[in-house]
Amino acid sequence: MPNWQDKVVMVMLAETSDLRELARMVGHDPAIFWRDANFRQADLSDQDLNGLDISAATLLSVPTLADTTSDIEHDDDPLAQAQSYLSRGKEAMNRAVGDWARAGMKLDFAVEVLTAAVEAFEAVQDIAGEAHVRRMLADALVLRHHAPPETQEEDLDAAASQLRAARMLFERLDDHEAVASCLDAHGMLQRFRSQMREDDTAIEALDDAVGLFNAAAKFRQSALTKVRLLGASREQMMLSGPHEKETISLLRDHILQLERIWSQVTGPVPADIAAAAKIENCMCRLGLAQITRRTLGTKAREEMRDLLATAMRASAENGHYIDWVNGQLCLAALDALHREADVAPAQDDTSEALDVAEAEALTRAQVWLADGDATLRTLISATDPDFAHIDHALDCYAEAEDLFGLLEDVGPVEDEPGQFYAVMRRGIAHLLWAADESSTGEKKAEAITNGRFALDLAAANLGGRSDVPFAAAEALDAQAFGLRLEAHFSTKEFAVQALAEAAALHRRASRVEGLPRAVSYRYRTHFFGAERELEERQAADPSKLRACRVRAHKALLSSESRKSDRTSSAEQASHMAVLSEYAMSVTAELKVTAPRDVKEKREQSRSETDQCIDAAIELATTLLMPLDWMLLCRTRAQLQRLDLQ
Amino acid sequence: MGFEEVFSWKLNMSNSSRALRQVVSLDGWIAAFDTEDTATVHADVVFREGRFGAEDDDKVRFRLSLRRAEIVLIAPEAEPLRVIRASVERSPAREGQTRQVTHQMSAEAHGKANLSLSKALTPGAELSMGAEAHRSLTTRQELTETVAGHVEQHFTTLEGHPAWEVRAIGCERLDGSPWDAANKPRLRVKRLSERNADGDKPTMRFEMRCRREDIEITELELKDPEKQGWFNKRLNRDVNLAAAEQVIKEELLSAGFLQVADLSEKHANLVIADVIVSEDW
Repeated sequence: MPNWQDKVVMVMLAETSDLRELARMVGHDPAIFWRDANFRQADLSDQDLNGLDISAATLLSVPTLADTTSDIEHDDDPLAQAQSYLSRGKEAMNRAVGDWARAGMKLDFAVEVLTAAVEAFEAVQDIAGEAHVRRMLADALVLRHHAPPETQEEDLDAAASQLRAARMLFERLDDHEAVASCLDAHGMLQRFRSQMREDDTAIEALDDAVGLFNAAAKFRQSALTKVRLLGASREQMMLSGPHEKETISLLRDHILQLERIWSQVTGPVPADIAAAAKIENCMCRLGLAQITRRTLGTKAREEMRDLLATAMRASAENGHYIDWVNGQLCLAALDALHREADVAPAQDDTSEALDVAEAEALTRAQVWLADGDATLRTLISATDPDFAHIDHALDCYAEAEDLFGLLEDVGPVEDEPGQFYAVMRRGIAHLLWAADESSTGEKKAEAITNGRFALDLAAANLGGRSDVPFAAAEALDAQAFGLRLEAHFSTKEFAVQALAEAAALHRRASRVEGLPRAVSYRYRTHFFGAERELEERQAADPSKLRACRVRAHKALLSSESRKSDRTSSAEQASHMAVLSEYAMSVTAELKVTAPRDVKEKREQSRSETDQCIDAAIELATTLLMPLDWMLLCRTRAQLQRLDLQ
Repeated sequence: MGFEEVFSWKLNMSNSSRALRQVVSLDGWIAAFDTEDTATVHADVVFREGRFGAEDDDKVRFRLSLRRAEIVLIAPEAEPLRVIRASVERSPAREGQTRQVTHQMSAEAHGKANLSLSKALTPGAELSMGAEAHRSLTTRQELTETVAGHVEQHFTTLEGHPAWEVRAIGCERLDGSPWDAANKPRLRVKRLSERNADGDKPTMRFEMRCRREDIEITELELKDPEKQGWFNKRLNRDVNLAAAEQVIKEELLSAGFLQVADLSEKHANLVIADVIVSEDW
């Protein structure tokens, strides 16, 4: 007989978890071996505990066979009996999602007792109870359909019929919220069904789902339905095939919308919505990875797992088992994506191959960045700019961000662009879109928020770095422009605060150590611009605005006198800033002049100001400075409006 | 360290303390008798956590402790000593000592640092971090918390011996001394004669008893990392862990406990240490 340590090793490594077998293996009587044992979270639901001396207190804390038999105590009160079935069913469902690998038996039990509960509520003619249980039974059937090891499509049919019955009952009760919930659940069920089918029938199921979600929206305007619709449209796009670009664009848009939904959610009930949005968001990100034939980095994978775990827990706690199933499907998709990816490098597992892959990814990131820049350049060079192109630029920058992110290339090294540089460019593109006259209302606000967020993020990561002074200063400067733009569309109080902050950021940018004089000078000119805008919003004192114009004029004269020095792009950019500031300060002064004097003064300065604007726009286009370009276009428009007065 | 050592008996005829050396230390004495031939009886009890598995040839490692124990004072009938019942230490069970705790916390947040970047760089939770946020916060909280320690409860055994049950509160296991041995005697005894029938000073015996369920085995693991890794990956491993702990408990019980009436008896009390005490001078 082995000594006691061998026995310990033997039972720990035993292939079995059968209580009797384990006791016999170490030479003990199974009947008394398990006394006072600490089973912790063990699952004893598939074990026969008859004849084993295990205390009731011990068994209270673990799932046991009792959970999986229909041996329920009978109550003389039929309603109490029905409630008892219901609570046992719900408990079994909770246990099933808590131990998904072995959920089958528990879900069989749940379906069994919930079916009994339906009959019991029917018998006492409790319509509300019956409707509620039918709804829950549908969830149990959907769970069982997805539970390992095999799926049964008939469960989906049964679930659909329970949902229809529940919906009819809720309609009789005029419970619109519950009717919408049934329609939502039915729509999700159709989405699940589409995953089991191919081609046309899958698309039909999705169309059906969209119809059901739209019907739900008629009863209840809920963000939850919106999340489900986004999911259905994602699945439609993914099924429809080769329109990769459109799909990528749609997925990015979905990701944004979903993040916004969950960030706006507060309180316990909308926690369901937040959970569904998080799961759908992960689905979108996985969809993106699949389309672009990429895998996620370890960190991104872990982040996604955490997000899914939180969301699935919230869904289960709130009884939204269908969302929980959706989360489970997402986890499976994540695993599948990386199983393939993990296998691939194993076939060619050399560091050289990885280096090549990294180099390729880096090149691709830089190409995306250049593509984004080229798009913006085309836009600002056009006589009649088409702002729709900004969408493409946003996609390009986002793609570059992703690739740099995968390479963990977070910031510029020796001024080579990296992830946050791409973020900054994306922020600029958002702001450009926001500044367009055709963007209005919610979309404009959204673009400003997105732009500000990206620029804040870039500045937070680059702004404090002394090793990359160019990028650090540029990020701060762009951040300030974001504030100036937002100030333009805000209340006076906010605008004053934002402009003061913007002025401080421009000043900080101008003082970053290691910058060439011309670059620093450009940021200082921007600082004067922010100060002037602050004065315009605060008091619009004509004498102060005149002083601003005079200062800008002096700067212009000084810059003109150094024409021979303007060989580098930094010098040219600096000159452009001065030209731009002069034109803007003239406009600001004209705006506070009495209308009858405007025309006269405008004519006096027309030629000079227009020349300044033309020259500055040309430089901004050449040097690809979209924010400066945008300000100049606005100034020109303002001057034209003043002309008309 | 061998199993015997964790669970070794300390044999000493003058003071035959038999202790689970690492987990509990039990000692005691009878103070000097006064002019009325009475004296106080003291028990010195210390609980600790035992560790097993340090030896190279050990295959497993774990920690061992007690959740509950009984200390029984036995005055053999043949001994010329009589317990003064009124003197038995019988303070009511303490519900746990409490203490007032004040937390003061100051924090200053600089939003610029350490932005973790998800793949989707979009507005959301991180927005406020993106800006340069400077916030400071000072909070002060006063709360009453239960201090980890012991609950001591007097009782009389079925045989009529005075006894004290000690249970852990605020933590899972017994740790430290449940009482001040020198200043909190268990009781007073009256001496009926200076010598017993054998001509020796009269003696009493302290026993420490517990039940199988009071023994706590924690952090059980295989020393072979490969095997432990395999174990960690298995499903429903808590059943196998429970089986392994049962094996260890059985071994502990059958290997060394002093007095076990019937190991198969569910509620058998097991004597895990004892000490004979006599007048200490």
